[in-house]
Formats: sequence, C-alpha cells, structure tokens
Amino acid sequence: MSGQIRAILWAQFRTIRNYLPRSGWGTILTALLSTIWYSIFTAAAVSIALEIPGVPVSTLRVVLPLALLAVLLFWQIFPVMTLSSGWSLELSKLLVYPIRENALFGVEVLLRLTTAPEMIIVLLGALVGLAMHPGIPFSSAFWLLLYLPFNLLLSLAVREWLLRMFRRKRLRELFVAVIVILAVLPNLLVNTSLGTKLKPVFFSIGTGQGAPWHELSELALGRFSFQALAIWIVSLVFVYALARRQFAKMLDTDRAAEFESAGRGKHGTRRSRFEWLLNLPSRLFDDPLAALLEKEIRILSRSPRFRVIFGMACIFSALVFFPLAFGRNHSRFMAGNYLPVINTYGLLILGELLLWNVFGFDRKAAQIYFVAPVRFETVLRAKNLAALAAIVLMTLFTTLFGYALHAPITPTSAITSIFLTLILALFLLACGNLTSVILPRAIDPSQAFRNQKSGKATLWLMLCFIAMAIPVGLAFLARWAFGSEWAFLLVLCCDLVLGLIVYKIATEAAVARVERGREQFLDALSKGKELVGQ
Amino acid sequence: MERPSVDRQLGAEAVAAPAGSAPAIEISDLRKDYNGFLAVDGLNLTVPQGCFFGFLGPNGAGKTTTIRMLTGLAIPTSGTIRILGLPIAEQGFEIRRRIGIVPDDSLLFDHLTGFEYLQFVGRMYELTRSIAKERSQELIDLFELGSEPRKLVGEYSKGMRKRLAMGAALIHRPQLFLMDEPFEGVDAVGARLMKDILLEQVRRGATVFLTSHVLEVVERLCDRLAIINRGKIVLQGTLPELRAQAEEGARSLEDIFVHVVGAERSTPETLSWLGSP
Repeated sequence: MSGQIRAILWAQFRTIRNYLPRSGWGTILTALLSTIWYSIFTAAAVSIALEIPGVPVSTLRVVLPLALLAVLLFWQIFPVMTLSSGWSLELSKLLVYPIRENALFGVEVLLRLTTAPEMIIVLLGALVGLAMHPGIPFSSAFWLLLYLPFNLLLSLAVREWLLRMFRRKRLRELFVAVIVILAVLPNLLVNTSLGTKLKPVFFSIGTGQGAPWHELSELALGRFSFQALAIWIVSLVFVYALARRQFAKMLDTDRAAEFESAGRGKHGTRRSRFEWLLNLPSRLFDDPLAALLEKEIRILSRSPRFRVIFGMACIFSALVFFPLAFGRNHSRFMAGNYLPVINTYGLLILGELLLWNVFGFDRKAAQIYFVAPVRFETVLRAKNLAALAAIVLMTLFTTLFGYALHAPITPTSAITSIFLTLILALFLLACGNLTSVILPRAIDPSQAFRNQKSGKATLWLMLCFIAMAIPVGLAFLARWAFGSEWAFLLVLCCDLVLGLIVYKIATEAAVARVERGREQFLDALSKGKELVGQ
Repeated sequence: MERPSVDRQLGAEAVAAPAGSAPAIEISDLRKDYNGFLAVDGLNLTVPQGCFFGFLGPNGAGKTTTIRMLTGLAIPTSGTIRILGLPIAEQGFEIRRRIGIVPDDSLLFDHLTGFEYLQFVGRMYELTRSIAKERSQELIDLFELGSEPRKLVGEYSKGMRKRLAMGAALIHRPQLFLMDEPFEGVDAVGARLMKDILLEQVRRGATVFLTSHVLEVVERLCDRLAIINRGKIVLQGTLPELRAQAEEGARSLEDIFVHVVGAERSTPETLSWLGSP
C-alpha cells in the first residue's frame, strides 16, 4: 500500500476517532443494531457452510449459479434501491494533491467493500461449505474468490455511472423512475403473474453457459475448463476497463466542478413556471413566517436530493405495496388500507429531509436564525409548514397514482387516508423538531445519491417512527376490536388533539434546547466533508 | 454601467448617534471557556458610537470567539456585554434588529439567487416586502452582482459571496456593523467599494467593528484599535496612542502588532531545510 493511501486512510481513521467520543450512547446502540444485522447474515453464512457438504454436486450445479446471480443482483442493485452508495473518496478534496490516479482508483475499489458487506459474508460461507464438500476438490472452492474483484469493480462502475447521471438535471428524475422499477421488480415477480412468466428467463440467465456466474460455479465445483477460465479472464478485464473508464469520467467531472465552483458556474435557475406557487406563502402569512416558508419551498424545490426523495415517496411506495394489496397472494389488511400504508411509507422516505433533520440543508447558514430578529419557534414552524405542504402534495400524488393503477379507492378512503397521514405527520414533526436540534447534521442538497447514512440518524428514525406511529396504530386497533369505522375516526380525533399537545410541548422543548446549546447545534451543522464518505 | 450612489442607497435615513449616548459596545470581564481552554480571558473593551474600530490579533487569539459572543452565536461563560446600551443577555432580540453582520463564515443559502437572498434577509429584519425588494435590487446593482441574475449563491465566487454578505448586512441600515474579515477574498475594486460604504456609514453615525489580518487596511480605515492575544486585550487606543505605548521605533501598525504579540522569528533558522539549495 503506498504512503499516500495509508495517509488518506490514517486521516480518515483519525477523523472518525476524534468524532467518536462525542457520539455517546447513540454510537453504542448503532453498533448493537449493526451487530444484529450482520449477525443475521453471518448465521446465514454458517448455515450455508454447514448445509453445502450434504448437497449432491448435481444439485449444486443448478443452485450455485442461480445463487451467484442473486448475490450479484443484491450487490449491484440493493445499494441503488436504498440510494446508499457506501463509503467513497471525496475526490474533490484529494485532487489538489499529487496522488496518482491508480492509487485513488485502488482505494475506491476497496471502499466498494462497504456497499454490500452482507454478500461477502455469504460468499465466504459458501466458500467454506464447498471446501468441506467431499465430492469437490478442496482448492476448487477458492475460485469463488474471483467473484469479489468482479463485483467490486462492477459496483464501482455502476456507482460512478449513476452519480454522473444524477448530476445531470433532467436525467436525475428519470433515474428515480428506473430505480423505482428496479426496487419494485422483486415484489412484482413474487406476487404477480409476471414472476411466473419471467421465472424460466431467470433460470436460463442463471444457468446459461457462458455467463460469468455459471462458469464460476463450474470452476468452484471442480469442473475446470480452459473455456471457463478464459471467460473469467475476459469478464474481469471487461469490468476492470469499465470501472476505470467510469472512474476517469468521474474525475473529469469533479475537476470541472472544481473549476465551476471557482465562480464560473454556467447554469442558473430558470424563472419557475410555478413562481406563483412559490409566492403563495406571502399571500397567506405575515413575515417573518412567510419569508421563511418561501425560502424553504424555494430551496427544497431546487434541491436534487429533495426532488429524488419526493419522487420516491410518491411513486415507490404506491408501486411497492400494490402487489401486496392487490396481487395474487394479497393481504386483506393491505387491500383495505392501501392508501394509509403507502402514505405512511412515503412519510418514512421523506422523514430524513423533512422531519428528523430539518436544518440539514441550511448547514452553516443556520447561523442566520440566531443573528436576525426572528424567534426560533417561528423558524421551526416555517419548516414544519413546508414539510406539511410536501406531505399533502405527496398524499395527493399517491392517491392519483393509486387511481391510475386501478386500486379500489373511494373519496371517503382518500380523505380518511389524508387525515390519518396528517395526524401521523403531526406526531413525527413533534419528534422531528427535537431530533433536529439534538442530532443536527449537514446535508448537501445537491447530492442526490447519499453515501453512508448516519448511524445515529438511522437509529432515531427507526425508534421515533415506531413510537410516534403507536397512537395512529391504536385507531386501527379500535376499528378491529369494535368493527366500526366510527371507533376508528373517534380514536383518530383523539389522536389529533393529543398530537397537537405533543407538538406544542416538543416544539417548546426544542426551542429551549437550542437556546441553551446553540453552539453545539451550529457546530454540528458546520461540519464539512471528510476524506472518505460523509 | 452607472453604479447607484451609496448616498442614495443607504443615506436617506441616516443613522445618527445621539449626543451623550451609550457606547456601541461595552464589554466587561468577558470570558469564554471551551472545555478548559480559555478562548477569551477577562476581556474589557469599550467602543464608542460613530467609531471605526479595528480588532486585531494573531490566529487563535480570540477575535472570532469575541465576535460570535457579540452577535449572540456563542454564549459567554461569564462577564457582560452591552450593545448600544442594551444588555445582550436580556435584550438580545432587540439588539439583533440594530446590528448588521458579516461573519467569517457563510450565512448564505446556496440554493437562492443573490436577489432572493437579500429579499429574504430584508424581510427577516422586518422590512416591508416592497422595500425589501427595492433595496435588494439596488444592492445587487451596487455590488455588481446583477450580471447573472439567475445564478445561485452556491455558484458565486468567494468575493461575490462576501459582497453579497455585505449587502445583507446593510439592507436594514443597522447602527452597528460587526464584521469578521470582511475583505477576505474580495478583489481591489470590490474592497474599495465596501470600504467607501463603511466609511460613509461611520460618517453618518453608525459604528463599525471589524477584524482583519490586512494591517494596512486597518491602519488606513480605523480610528481606534485593540489588539487581542491569548484571549486578553494587550493594547488599545488610537493609532498614535498605540505608537506611544509600543516600543521605540515601532512606526507602522505592523511593527506595533509584531512587537505586542511577540511573533518575530526567523524562518530560515526554524526550518533549515527550507533554505538549503
């Protein structure tokens, strides 16, 4: 490893280490959750390792290539579906140093290990199982290791290509649609007739001669052939060339971005056709609330990150739950509560930007709330109103989309669903106001594709969402217990009152907290990019 | 393109310092402790109204921490601050209405245009929408930020960002300007314009409190100065007073500064390898 790579990794390690003592119990809980998550895959790997020796080679010849194809799909597609690309180098910070492109490329490839470590664990389990198999030569199992560089390089190529596509204004939104389709595909395959139709295709792709996973399976099962080896050499050279090409393009894009950031930016924002909509807050409210709200809407609507997330919330949730609600093996609960379920899921998607960390986009500029004569409570209220506007818009989109999919939606169910979503949003906003001041973290609004998600943020998101959904869950429980829509609505009305009280208390607590700890708050929002990841 | 006059822009309703009024800034025994590190250690300072005040010090001396406490971004560990006669602890909100700030770091929102940002700030400072709009346009013209009106602040150069921040500090005609390195990254023309505006504001009774590492600029602009080192004021007064207090032979502000903060050293001796062929 060159001295420069060691220096990069050392600087990153020091950055993380310097930050750790301030994380407290959040880090411990995050570590605990990660341990549980990876323990599941480790357990799966151990089971695979123990099971494989008892499986006949003839069965393995069918199953292994399909499993390898599934590993590849998970490795390459899962990060895209979750919009999480793992750790990566902040090339813009490293371009000024005399580091060879090869060195940067090497580190970037190794960092792809963070994209889907689950699959590495599973692959190792398979490798151990094959090595212990009595019918397979011990050394053959190690051919499976070739799958690591193959997937790492492919993952790098996919990531760099996607990132460049996401930087293109018009393509960004189109890519959301592609990602949505990718994410929904497994669900559609399992729950609709599409799966039955495509099953033979998947089998033929998985077991088709000449496919890298098939040839690797043959090698790993001790059926060495020069043809399989040649295919693998060609495959590796191909993905290497692809990754190098995409990486070089990304470097060029970053260099161009550096030049533009020096004041030569060539693009501006067009005067929006929806300017009247952006000015709407000024007609409805007085300053400073109106000015703050208008600013929020302008910034959100111009942020690629928000547009992508909003698109996901509107389309993804409606599509992903459609087969579960109306597919072959549909659930009655899902069919009866299609809109509430998809809107709740939409809230979960929007939560990162609109609920849990509402000052993330402001970053250092959040200082203005403390130097201008504006009450912090007003700032929070403006952010919450902007969030509510986006949530209402989302519920309208999902309802329309549901209609377009011919889901059985009645006007009553649509209105009830919007009402329920707003009540849930009220609880989430209350909780989010607190998390936004306790765990603030800067987010780049221009980055449509996030790197590693903050562990603490994930933890908060999960715990808060579950806790805040309980009151709304009680309404469903009342409907089930009493078999009455009126019971459902009555509990929802009680939830509304409770939500308003919780919102008031939580917002006051958030204001008090930020008044006391404004320095830590601003400090957390001022943190810049590190050398690796974010 | 003809620039709108600074007079017209900001002078119409001049900020006059009432005779016998309280000092613009009055700091007593101010301390700021960051986990045992005293960034500001018993600071005492008085800045009269209508004064162009330079606040100098080496890196890490406590300048930015002091400005952050004056603007309310940081809370003092102990001591008192009165701004324009008002105690910051009790009347911070009222004080915010009367001060304009150009911080060392950004207060700017990257995804607004310069014009939108100025309008937003104007409305934050309780200007009516029409006045905020009118002044924003005039400030954009004055600071020559209007050539690409659709450009987002995030695409601005450092100098443009500083000019925009200056415009935002001016928009509500504050009585006191608190500025941390306001000329950093600004070209000569832009810096001259900013200096002219600030001098004019001082002539009309406003107070300017600024930090800068460009000692020639401070020497030329400021009528009073203070030098801070390791969290304490080590010298303050007018330039002639500082000369009198400094050692004999210290004529320029740079001489005085170097003498007071004890930063004289010989680089070739410290880093011998730098001098080797």
